[in-house]
Amino acid sequence: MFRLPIPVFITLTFLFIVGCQAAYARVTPEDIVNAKREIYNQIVQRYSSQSQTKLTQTDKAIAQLNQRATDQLDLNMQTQAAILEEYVRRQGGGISDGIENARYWLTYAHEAVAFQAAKIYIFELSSEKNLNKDVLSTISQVQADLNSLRGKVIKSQKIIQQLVKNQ
Amino acid sequence: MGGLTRGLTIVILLSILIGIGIFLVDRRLNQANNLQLPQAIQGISNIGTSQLSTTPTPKPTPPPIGPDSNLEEELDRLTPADFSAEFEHLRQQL
Repeated sequence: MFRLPIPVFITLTFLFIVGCQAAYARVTPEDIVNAKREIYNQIVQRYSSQSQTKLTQTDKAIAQLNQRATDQLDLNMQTQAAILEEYVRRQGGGISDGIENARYWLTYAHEAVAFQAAKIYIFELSSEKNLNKDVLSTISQVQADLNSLRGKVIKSQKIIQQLVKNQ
Repeated sequence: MGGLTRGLTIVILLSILIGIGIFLVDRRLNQANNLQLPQAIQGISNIGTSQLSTTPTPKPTPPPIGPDSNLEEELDRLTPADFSAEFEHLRQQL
Protein backbone atom coordinates (compact mmCIF):
# COMPACT_ATOMS: atom_id res chain seq x y z
CA MET A 1 0.00 0.00 0.00
CA PHE A 2 1.63 3.26 -1.02
CA ARG A 3 1.53 6.33 1.16
CA LEU A 4 0.42 9.55 -0.44
CA PRO A 5 2.85 12.43 -0.16
CA ILE A 6 1.40 15.45 1.66
CA PRO A 7 1.24 17.79 -1.38
CA VAL A 8 -0.75 15.15 -3.26
CA PHE A 9 -3.10 14.69 -0.32
CA ILE A 10 -3.66 18.45 -0.06
CA THR A 11 -4.29 18.71 -3.82
CA LEU A 12 -6.84 15.88 -3.71
CA THR A 13 -8.62 17.38 -0.72
CA PHE A 14 -8.79 20.72 -2.50
CA LEU A 15 -10.17 19.10 -5.66
CA PHE A 16 -12.77 17.21 -3.64
CA ILE A 17 -13.97 20.38 -1.91
CA VAL A 18 -14.08 22.31 -5.19
CA GLY A 19 -15.94 19.45 -6.81
CA CYS A 20 -18.60 19.42 -4.08
CA GLN A 21 -19.01 23.21 -4.32
CA ALA A 22 -19.39 22.99 -8.10
CA ALA A 23 -22.05 20.28 -7.79
CA TYR A 24 -24.13 22.11 -5.16
CA ALA A 25 -23.63 25.63 -6.54
CA ARG A 26 -26.10 24.86 -9.32
CA VAL A 27 -29.04 24.64 -6.86
CA THR A 28 -30.82 28.03 -6.88
CA PRO A 29 -33.61 29.22 -4.54
CA GLU A 30 -35.98 28.75 -7.47
CA ASP A 31 -34.93 25.09 -7.65
CA ILE A 32 -35.76 24.69 -3.97
CA VAL A 33 -39.22 26.24 -4.43
CA ASN A 34 -39.87 24.10 -7.50
CA ALA A 35 -38.78 20.97 -5.67
CA LYS A 36 -41.11 21.81 -2.74
CA ARG A 37 -43.95 22.44 -5.16
CA GLU A 38 -43.40 19.09 -6.86
CA ILE A 39 -43.56 17.30 -3.52
CA TYR A 40 -46.67 19.30 -2.60
CA ASN A 41 -48.42 18.45 -5.89
CA GLN A 42 -47.61 14.77 -5.54
CA ILE A 43 -49.05 14.62 -2.01
CA VAL A 44 -52.13 16.77 -2.61
CA GLN A 45 -53.40 14.76 -5.57
CA ARG A 46 -54.27 11.99 -3.09
CA TYR A 47 -56.46 14.35 -1.03
CA SER A 48 -60.23 14.71 -1.39
CA SER A 49 -61.56 17.51 -3.60
CA GLN A 50 -62.87 19.31 -0.51
CA SER A 51 -59.38 19.37 1.03
CA GLN A 52 -57.85 20.45 -2.26
CA THR A 53 -60.32 23.34 -2.50
CA LYS A 54 -59.55 24.35 1.08
CA LEU A 55 -55.83 24.35 0.32
CA THR A 56 -56.30 26.39 -2.85
CA GLN A 57 -58.44 28.99 -1.11
CA THR A 58 -56.12 29.29 1.88
CA ASP A 59 -53.08 29.53 -0.37
CA LYS A 60 -54.71 32.35 -2.32
CA ALA A 61 -55.74 34.13 0.90
CA ILE A 62 -52.20 33.91 2.28
CA ALA A 63 -50.69 35.26 -0.94
CA GLN A 64 -53.17 38.16 -1.02
CA LEU A 65 -52.60 38.97 2.65
CA ASN A 66 -48.82 38.91 2.15
CA GLN A 67 -49.14 41.23 -0.86
CA ARG A 68 -51.46 43.63 0.98
CA ALA A 69 -49.17 43.77 3.99
CA THR A 70 -45.99 44.28 1.95
CA ASP A 71 -47.68 46.95 -0.21
CA GLN A 72 -48.60 48.89 2.93
CA LEU A 73 -45.15 48.49 4.42
CA ASP A 74 -43.57 49.52 1.12
CA LEU A 75 -45.65 52.70 1.15
CA ASN A 76 -44.52 53.28 4.71
CA MET A 77 -40.88 52.91 3.66
CA GLN A 78 -41.30 55.25 0.70
CA THR A 79 -42.74 57.88 3.05
CA GLN A 80 -39.88 57.39 5.50
CA ALA A 81 -37.40 57.82 2.63
CA ALA A 82 -39.13 61.03 1.49
CA ILE A 83 -39.07 62.39 5.05
CA LEU A 84 -35.39 61.56 5.46
CA GLU A 85 -34.52 63.21 2.14
CA GLU A 86 -36.44 66.34 3.13
CA TYR A 87 -34.64 66.36 6.48
CA VAL A 88 -31.24 66.08 4.73
CA ARG A 89 -32.23 68.90 2.38
CA ARG A 90 -33.15 71.10 5.33
CA GLN A 91 -29.78 70.35 6.93
CA GLY A 92 -28.12 71.77 3.82
CA GLY A 93 -27.39 68.41 2.26
CA GLY A 94 -24.63 67.59 4.71
CA ILE A 95 -23.90 64.00 5.68
CA SER A 96 -23.66 63.11 9.36
CA ASP A 97 -23.33 59.85 11.26
CA GLY A 98 -26.97 60.11 12.27
CA ILE A 99 -28.10 60.47 8.67
CA GLU A 100 -25.88 57.60 7.50
CA ASN A 101 -27.23 55.41 10.29
CA ALA A 102 -30.82 56.29 9.38
CA ARG A 103 -30.12 55.57 5.70
CA TYR A 104 -28.61 52.20 6.59
CA TRP A 105 -31.65 51.04 8.60
CA LEU A 106 -34.04 52.50 6.04
CA THR A 107 -32.36 50.51 3.25
CA TYR A 108 -32.22 47.40 5.42
CA ALA A 109 -35.95 47.57 6.18
CA HIS A 110 -36.88 48.43 2.60
CA GLU A 111 -34.93 45.44 1.26
CA ALA A 112 -36.59 43.22 3.85
CA VAL A 113 -40.00 44.41 2.59
CA ALA A 114 -39.05 43.56 -1.01
CA PHE A 115 -37.77 40.17 0.08
CA GLN A 116 -40.99 39.40 1.95
CA ALA A 117 -43.12 40.52 -1.01
CA ALA A 118 -41.35 37.99 -3.24
CA LYS A 119 -41.74 35.08 -0.80
CA ILE A 120 -43.75 32.06 -1.90
CA TYR A 121 -45.32 29.95 0.81
CA ILE A 122 -45.95 26.30 0.04
CA PHE A 123 -47.78 24.09 2.53
CA GLU A 124 -45.72 21.26 3.96
CA LEU A 125 -48.26 18.47 4.02
CA SER A 126 -47.98 15.41 6.22
CA SER A 127 -51.38 13.73 5.79
CA GLU A 128 -54.98 14.64 5.01
CA LYS A 129 -56.15 14.20 8.60
CA ASN A 130 -53.46 16.71 9.67
CA LEU A 131 -54.57 19.20 7.02
CA ASN A 132 -55.67 21.89 9.45
CA LYS A 133 -52.50 21.55 11.49
CA ASP A 134 -50.32 21.80 8.37
CA VAL A 135 -52.16 24.87 7.13
CA LEU A 136 -52.11 26.54 10.55
CA SER A 137 -48.36 25.98 10.71
CA THR A 138 -47.89 27.88 7.43
CA ILE A 139 -50.23 30.67 8.56
CA SER A 140 -48.21 31.04 11.76
CA GLN A 141 -45.01 31.17 9.71
CA VAL A 142 -46.38 33.95 7.51
CA GLN A 143 -47.58 35.88 10.54
CA ALA A 144 -44.18 35.53 12.23
CA ASP A 145 -42.42 36.74 9.08
CA LEU A 146 -44.69 39.77 8.76
CA ASN A 147 -44.32 40.62 12.46
CA SER A 148 -40.55 40.48 12.12
CA LEU A 149 -40.74 42.70 9.05
CA ARG A 150 -43.01 45.13 10.87
CA GLY A 151 -40.41 45.34 13.64
CA LYS A 152 -37.73 46.32 11.12
CA VAL A 153 -39.95 49.02 9.61
CA ILE A 154 -40.77 50.42 13.04
CA LYS A 155 -37.07 50.43 13.99
CA SER A 156 -36.21 52.43 10.88
CA GLN A 157 -39.06 54.84 11.64
CA LYS A 158 -37.89 55.33 15.24
CA ILE A 159 -34.34 56.11 14.12
CA ILE A 160 -35.61 58.77 11.70
CA GLN A 161 -37.92 60.14 14.40
CA GLN A 162 -34.96 60.47 16.77
CA LEU A 163 -32.97 62.22 14.07
CA VAL A 164 -35.76 64.66 13.25
CA LYS A 165 -36.47 65.41 16.95
CA ASN A 166 -32.82 66.20 17.62
CA GLN A 167 -32.52 68.80 14.86
CA MET B 1 11.84 12.16 -9.48
CA GLY B 2 10.13 8.78 -9.65
CA GLY B 3 8.01 9.73 -6.64
CA LEU B 4 7.08 13.07 -8.17
CA THR B 5 6.01 11.43 -11.42
CA ARG B 6 3.93 8.88 -9.53
CA GLY B 7 2.34 11.66 -7.45
CA LEU B 8 1.48 13.71 -10.51
CA THR B 9 0.01 10.69 -12.27
CA ILE B 10 -2.21 9.97 -9.27
CA VAL B 11 -3.36 13.60 -9.12
CA ILE B 12 -4.20 13.66 -12.83
CA LEU B 13 -6.07 10.34 -12.69
CA LEU B 14 -8.04 11.33 -9.62
CA SER B 15 -8.84 14.75 -11.13
CA ILE B 16 -10.33 13.00 -14.15
CA LEU B 17 -12.33 10.67 -11.91
CA ILE B 18 -13.62 13.54 -9.78
CA GLY B 19 -14.51 15.50 -12.93
CA ILE B 20 -16.54 12.54 -14.24
CA GLY B 21 -18.19 12.24 -10.84
CA ILE B 22 -19.18 15.93 -10.86
CA PHE B 23 -20.61 15.54 -14.37
CA LEU B 24 -22.73 12.55 -13.34
CA VAL B 25 -24.01 14.24 -10.15
CA ASP B 26 -24.90 17.38 -12.11
CA ARG B 27 -26.79 15.33 -14.70
CA ARG B 28 -28.64 13.52 -11.93
CA LEU B 29 -29.63 16.80 -10.27
CA ASN B 30 -30.95 18.14 -13.58
CA GLN B 31 -32.99 14.99 -14.12
CA ALA B 32 -34.50 15.36 -10.65
CA ASN B 33 -35.65 18.87 -11.56
CA ASN B 34 -37.45 17.70 -14.71
CA LEU B 35 -39.90 15.25 -13.14
CA GLN B 36 -42.67 13.99 -15.40
CA LEU B 37 -45.96 14.89 -13.71
CA PRO B 38 -48.71 12.28 -13.85
CA GLN B 39 -51.76 13.11 -15.95
CA ALA B 40 -53.95 13.42 -12.84
CA ILE B 41 -52.15 16.57 -11.81
CA GLN B 42 -53.01 18.40 -15.03
CA GLY B 43 -56.51 19.21 -13.80
CA ILE B 44 -55.37 20.62 -10.47
CA SER B 45 -52.24 22.41 -11.55
CA ASN B 46 -53.28 25.57 -9.73
CA ILE B 47 -52.94 24.04 -6.29
CA GLY B 48 -49.91 25.23 -4.38
CA THR B 49 -49.29 28.20 -6.65
CA SER B 50 -49.85 31.73 -5.50
CA GLN B 51 -52.95 32.82 -7.38
CA LEU B 52 -53.08 36.58 -7.47
CA SER B 53 -55.29 38.86 -9.47
CA THR B 54 -53.84 39.54 -12.93
CA THR B 55 -55.37 42.99 -13.10
CA PRO B 56 -52.84 45.39 -11.61
CA THR B 57 -54.29 47.27 -8.67
CA PRO B 58 -53.18 50.89 -8.51
CA LYS B 59 -50.68 51.29 -5.70
CA PRO B 60 -51.21 54.23 -3.35
CA THR B 61 -48.53 56.87 -3.51
CA PRO B 62 -46.83 58.35 -0.45
CA PRO B 63 -48.00 61.78 0.71
CA PRO B 64 -45.97 64.67 -0.74
CA ILE B 65 -43.25 65.79 1.66
CA GLY B 66 -42.14 69.35 1.00
CA PRO B 67 -40.51 72.33 2.69
CA ASP B 68 -43.76 73.15 4.52
CA SER B 69 -44.29 69.65 5.88
CA ASN B 70 -44.04 68.98 9.58
CA LEU B 71 -41.66 66.01 9.51
CA GLU B 72 -42.41 64.90 13.07
CA GLU B 73 -46.14 64.86 12.44
CA GLU B 74 -45.68 62.96 9.18
CA LEU B 75 -43.60 60.37 11.01
CA ASP B 76 -46.11 60.08 13.84
CA ARG B 77 -48.82 59.45 11.29
CA LEU B 78 -46.92 56.44 9.94
CA THR B 79 -48.22 53.38 11.73
CA PRO B 80 -47.35 50.02 10.19
CA ALA B 81 -50.59 48.05 10.16
CA ASP B 82 -50.95 45.01 12.34
CA PHE B 83 -52.69 42.17 10.54
CA SER B 84 -53.48 40.05 13.60
CA ALA B 85 -57.23 40.31 13.00
CA GLU B 86 -56.88 39.09 9.42
CA PHE B 87 -54.75 36.15 10.45
CA GLU B 88 -57.28 35.27 13.14
CA HIS B 89 -60.04 35.39 10.53
CA LEU B 90 -57.97 33.13 8.27
CA ARG B 91 -57.51 30.62 11.10
CA GLN B 92 -61.20 30.61 11.92
CA GLN B 93 -62.07 29.82 8.32
CA LEU B 94 -60.38 26.43 8.60
